[in-house]
Amino acid sequence: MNLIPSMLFPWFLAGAFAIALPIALHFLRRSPRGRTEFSSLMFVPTSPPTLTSRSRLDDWLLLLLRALALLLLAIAFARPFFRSSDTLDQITASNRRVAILVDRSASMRRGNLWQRAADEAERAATQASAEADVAVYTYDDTVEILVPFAETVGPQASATHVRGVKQQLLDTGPTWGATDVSAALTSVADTMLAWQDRQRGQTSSQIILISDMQEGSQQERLQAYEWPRQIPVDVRPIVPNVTANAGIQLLSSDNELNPSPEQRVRISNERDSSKEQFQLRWWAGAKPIGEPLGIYVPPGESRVVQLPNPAPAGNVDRLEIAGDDCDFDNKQFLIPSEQSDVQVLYSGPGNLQDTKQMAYFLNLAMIDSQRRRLRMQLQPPSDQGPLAIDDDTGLVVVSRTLSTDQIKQLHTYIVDGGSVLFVIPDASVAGALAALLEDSEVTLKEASGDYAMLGQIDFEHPLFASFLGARYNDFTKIRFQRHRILRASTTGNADVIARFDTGDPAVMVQRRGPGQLVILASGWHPADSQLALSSKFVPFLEGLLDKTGNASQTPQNWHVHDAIPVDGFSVVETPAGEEITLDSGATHFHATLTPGIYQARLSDQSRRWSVNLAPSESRTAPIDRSALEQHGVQLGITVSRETELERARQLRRTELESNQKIWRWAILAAFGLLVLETWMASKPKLEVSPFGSTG
Amino acid sequence: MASQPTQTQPSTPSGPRREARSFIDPQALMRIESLQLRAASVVEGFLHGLHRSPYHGFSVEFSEYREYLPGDDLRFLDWRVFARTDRFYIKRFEDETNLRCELLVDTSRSMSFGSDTFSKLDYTRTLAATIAYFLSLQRDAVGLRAFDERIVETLPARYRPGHLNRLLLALERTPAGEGTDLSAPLEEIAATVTKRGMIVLISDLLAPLDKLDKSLGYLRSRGHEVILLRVLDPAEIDFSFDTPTMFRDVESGQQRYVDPQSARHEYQIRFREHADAIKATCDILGIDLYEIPTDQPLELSLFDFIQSRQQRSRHVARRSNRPRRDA
Repeated sequence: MNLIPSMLFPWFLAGAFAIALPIALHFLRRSPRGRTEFSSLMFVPTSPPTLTSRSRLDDWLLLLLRALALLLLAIAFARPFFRSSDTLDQITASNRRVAILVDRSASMRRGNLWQRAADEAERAATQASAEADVAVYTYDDTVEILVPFAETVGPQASATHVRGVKQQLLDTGPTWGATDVSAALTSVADTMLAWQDRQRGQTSSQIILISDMQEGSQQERLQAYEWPRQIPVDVRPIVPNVTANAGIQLLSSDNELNPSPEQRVRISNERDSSKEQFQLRWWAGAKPIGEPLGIYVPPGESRVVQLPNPAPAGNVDRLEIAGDDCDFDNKQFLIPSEQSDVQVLYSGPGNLQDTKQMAYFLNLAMIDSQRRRLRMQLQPPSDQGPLAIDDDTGLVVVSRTLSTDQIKQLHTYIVDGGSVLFVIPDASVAGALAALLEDSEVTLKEASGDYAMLGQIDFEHPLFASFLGARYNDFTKIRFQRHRILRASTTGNADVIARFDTGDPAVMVQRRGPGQLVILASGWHPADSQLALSSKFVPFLEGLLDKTGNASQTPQNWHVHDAIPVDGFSVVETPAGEEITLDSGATHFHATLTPGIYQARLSDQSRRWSVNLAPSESRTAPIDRSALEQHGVQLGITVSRETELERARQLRRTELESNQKIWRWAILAAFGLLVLETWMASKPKLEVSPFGSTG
Repeated sequence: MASQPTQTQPSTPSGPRREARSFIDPQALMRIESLQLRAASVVEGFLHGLHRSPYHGFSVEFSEYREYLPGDDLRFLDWRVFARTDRFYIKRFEDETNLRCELLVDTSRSMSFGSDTFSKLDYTRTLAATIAYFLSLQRDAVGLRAFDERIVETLPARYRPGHLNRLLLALERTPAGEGTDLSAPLEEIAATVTKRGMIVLISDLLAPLDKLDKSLGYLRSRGHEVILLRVLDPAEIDFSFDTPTMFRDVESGQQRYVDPQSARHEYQIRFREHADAIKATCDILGIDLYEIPTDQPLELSLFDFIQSRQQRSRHVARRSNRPRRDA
């Protein structure tokens, strides 16, 4: 143990200077105290004050006692303690990790943002690597590790580890993805938390976020995440030099059933934008189409304009906006929609004028849309010749017995991607149905008894998906007066997607390749049911037409990093002209890395999609870092290693001091001295005559 | 640590006081908020006591009988005497209703000094109010002039319903002014108060004497009767302070370090010299001077005032009778 005491609060020793106070008071001249107001000094003679100046110490013992008491008080407040040599040196700093998160979204393509972000990342990495294990992550709507944690202890290893971060960042460059700062932060915070849990000793974590902090960063979703308080985020915003930015977004037609000759486009101007005038123009490759359309949009506002649709023959592939400073979000690619002719073949009883038969209602329910023109063709049941199926046929509705050739023809049609709806008119079609289903155990029987209703419906099946939702899924008003009971082997690959309340199958679907066979156990005409009269009939038919596997019916507009369904295609050509061969069985294409027109091919078939930048990426106005704080993120910087060590030492000192508690003894001694001083001061003084003792 | 006992500030001087057991204590009186109530308490208390006193009835004092001369007002003929003696006599009274009294109240800053709970100005206001109340009871006309270096408040002498209230209000709102310069306001008053009457000057007269005789002389030369009530704080008379301290002149702001122990004697000598000089001046000018310490009950001051009036009235009566005797 060191015999020289240390002080917990040494600056309190300055209080010892208070000793000078009694001494100074002792020597001080007595100056007149107070002031008296008087009516008039005209009679008051001037009498010079008789001030006493004492340059001699009268009661040196009292003075000494007072000074000692003050000194002891000062020492008590300074909290002295005896330190043992081994205790303070054993303190070590905690394990530290710093994750640098660099925004690489499309908005970082503006100006020299990426260069500056790389510089900042390099600077942050160099600084942090001196005392922590550093990793560098990049994020857009996904998070990627650029430099992982070294997993080694010691600053030396970390410093070499992060060398060249800037070059790596410059090599990879920003992507075309959208920004999802909440996903990035939460994912990295989770990683850090998991590491902290694994560590036994003290740990300290820090996230450094290098981003342009744009409005469209989707930081709102951080609300759902409880941010760990021990992981502070140091936000280092990279502010762009250019501020004028406007974005465009293609909007779908507001009326699906009434195709409009115009395209609706939303132009939004950022609130910090310095420009207000923009021009819109269609482009076909490198060739502009038509004249540019001038638009006025004040900063912070958006306008929706109707732009004449380009002619399909013109090979228009994009709309461009000009007039702002940032061109990364100025292009919107699109595949001009074409209205295709779709034929619905009906082969069953009745004609278009017979209001009691299915054909009449089917014809009424066929409504043209923006994407297709429907055409109905009737083939009477008596016609045993080949079914009138051609390339345009999108749906075949059969309600009759079929010849073997016709069944073969339908098989081929289904395998090629066609859609067949078989409505069971009566028990006599059991043979045809068995052949269609390729199931020999099919039996049909007319149901007896009261009416039936649909009981179990699989709303997740595409046929009924449009009825999902509490407002639409009420089928109780549709009564089926007559239906057929279908029994099939369970080994068949037909799914029952709706059953009557009696438990009998009502709708069955058998998928075969891209096509499908749908079996309905009751008709929709009034003799069988109220289906045709209900509001569910048209959406049900639309569902049948949409899910026929016809390539042209899938959505054509996607965003970067979306997975596009590519059932059956083998090769996808990217906008850069690169051909990517898909794995067999691949259902989706994921490599939508850049905006543009993608084309999927399979022998002579092809399908095109446009892939665009996410609209949120155009919202480039900067937000304040406090926006993150509002959503619970702990902003701040962890203390440096030296500060942390000093704090630990101070903690140890406090601990030692609180164990020893020397200050109590000092206070006690001071009180003792004061008691002694009081006693001595109150003792009457001996009068000493200048002429000696009076005896 | 033992602390040295500190001495408290010597704000209350000690000194000989006049015995005033039977009267209202000025401290208690000053606690009454309303000036009118204060004055009424003093005067009524005084009058109650006066029933047994030899001074009863002076205000409606019978003066003399005189033989009727043609032209005299028959209203004043004493018919009872006529019935007894068969002679016509006119009954004459002291003419009291034509008394015009001007109260000159000094409101200079030195008047704001007070070693007790009230200042000299408070005392002066009450004194003036008491005199005014008293005179009003006798239906005399009372006026007020408050002054410091100049006249700050003027209320001409009148006897009218409500006049006393106005006078008391004027007294209450009179603020403590600046320095004292008696000569200028007294000259102005001498010039403006043309009708002969009584002038009661209430002041501490803590000012150089050189101009005082001149100013008072103006008033006397106009034929006014002048009564001078000199209001003084006991501390001003005795200089009864204990501790050496810095004294500040409230009028001039001048500061001086004074040890009262050593200065008291000289102060008292100088003060007495000044007082004697004032008295000599007043004697020469025929002015009644009363020194009124603020710890003296107000009834005594009122008594002084009345005594002065009475002496004066006898003096006047004697003087007015003298030619007749001579004749």
